[in-house]
Amino acid sequence: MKGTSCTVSKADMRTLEKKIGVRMRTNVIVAIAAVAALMIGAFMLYASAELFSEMNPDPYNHSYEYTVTGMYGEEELIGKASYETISENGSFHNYRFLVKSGTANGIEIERSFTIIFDENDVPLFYDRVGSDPTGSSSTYIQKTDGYVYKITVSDLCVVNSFSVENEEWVMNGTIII
Amino acid sequence: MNFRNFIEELKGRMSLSKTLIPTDGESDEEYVFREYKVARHSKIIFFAVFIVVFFILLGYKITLGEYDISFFDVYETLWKHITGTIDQSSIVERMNDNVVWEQRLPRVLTAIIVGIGLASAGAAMQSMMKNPLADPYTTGISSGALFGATLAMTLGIYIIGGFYGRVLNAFICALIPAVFIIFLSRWKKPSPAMMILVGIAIMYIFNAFQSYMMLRADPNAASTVYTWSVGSIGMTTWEQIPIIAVVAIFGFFALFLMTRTLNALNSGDSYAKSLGINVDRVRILCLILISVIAAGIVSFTGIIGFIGLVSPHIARIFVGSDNRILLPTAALLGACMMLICDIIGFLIIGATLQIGIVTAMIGGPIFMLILIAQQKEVW
Repeated sequence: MKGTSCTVSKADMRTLEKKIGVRMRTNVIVAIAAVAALMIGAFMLYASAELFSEMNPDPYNHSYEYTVTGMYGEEELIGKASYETISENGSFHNYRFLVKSGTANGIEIERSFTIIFDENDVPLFYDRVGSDPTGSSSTYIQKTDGYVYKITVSDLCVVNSFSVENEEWVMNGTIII
Repeated sequence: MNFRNFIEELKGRMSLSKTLIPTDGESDEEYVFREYKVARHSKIIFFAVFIVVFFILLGYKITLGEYDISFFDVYETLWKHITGTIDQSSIVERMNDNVVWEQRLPRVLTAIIVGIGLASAGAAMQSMMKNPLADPYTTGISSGALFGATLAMTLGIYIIGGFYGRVLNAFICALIPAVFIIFLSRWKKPSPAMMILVGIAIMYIFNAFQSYMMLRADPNAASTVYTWSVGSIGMTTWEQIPIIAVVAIFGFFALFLMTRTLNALNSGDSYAKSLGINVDRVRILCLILISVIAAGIVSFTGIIGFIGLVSPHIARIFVGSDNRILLPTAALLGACMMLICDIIGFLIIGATLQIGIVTAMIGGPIFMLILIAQQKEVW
């Protein structure tokens, strides 16, 4: 085997290991305590931030349930829908609808779609088709991939009602307050 | 197998001297050169593997959210956006583009840039100070920067006005602990643990001042500052990213140019001096660069701890202590760690969980394990 080697007596080695070993352990314990202190500092800061955020909740962070009715050909559809958000970006608000309904004959329809609102609470990629007389809500429509989505939106990106339809079925949802 | 044995085995596998046997008729020089080439190739392979992992994490992170988009659609959308071939008549393509480019990419890019900046700063600091516990977070430099930025945000105390005043405030206050570290190193040769304890003391002093400012601030401003100071990457916009990128990437390249000097410093001051290196000047320059990186990052994202501490240690396990390969590997690993922490945070609570708390939850225990497993090599 190539390379160099040296010989140290076992007694010398033990003494050396003992001396160095004690210092090592002390240093490691101090370092671990220091890391623990840093972690605690981060948790305390997080707790403070959470406390403040609970005092000032995000008004856009809301979720709603909907009753759903509709038609599948000649059959009646009944179901429910949920509308919720996960805050991703300060400039946009993304909300996802999950619509589930079924017929008396056991046909199940499930459809999910996302609505992206911009900073002015206007749904992107939807066309505005009108608003109610008081101006408190507006109606938007989107046609894509054989589906037609129609939503009525009021303040803070709350969808009061919606409809989704394709060639086979149509589903209408109304918010449960 | 416990963690320590695992590390030992991993290191054994990577220090290929154990697996290479001199062949018949091979001279010592040929044997050493062959061993060097194999070790060098293995480092390049590890680096390449990290790059692949990085792109997988990047793609996966962008898929997460309320809007469903597949991994391959992410890269397709990015490619189409860069080449300007988004089909404007397709609502699906436009929605994909909005979600990927406008909403998720700023966050992901911020995570990557911050990871690169913090990890390279940590790796350089550890080599420069010969201290395995050193990084901008543990030495109080990040806390100084946070204090400076908070001063501007809550009390409106600026050296120059405008948004850049916040960055300049952060930089100047980050220099306070940096200068203190230089004086401490000269005045008394502190042990690695003592240096970190001093750093923690500095951090708590700054935190105390910061808490006082919060008490005096408007509750809404205090709420914003607290959320930001925990370490938040979700607030950055496309307008801010070039500033963070310039600071972090410039810092990384400047430190990369110093890697040969850092290698010499890592071998000891007397050795570095014998090579004609002005050790004090290099240290000051290095600390200024690290302070610039820390200030630039903290001004936009708040304090994100443990990335600069853990990434270089993990990188060292794979590629050794040569800063020429360690620095880029640590930077890449830092970016990967940031993405992993962001993914974990999202899967646990959602995008609202500040990444600083996730890096503390994950980075802290990992660092403790490394400390325990590697104590002989580190100390």
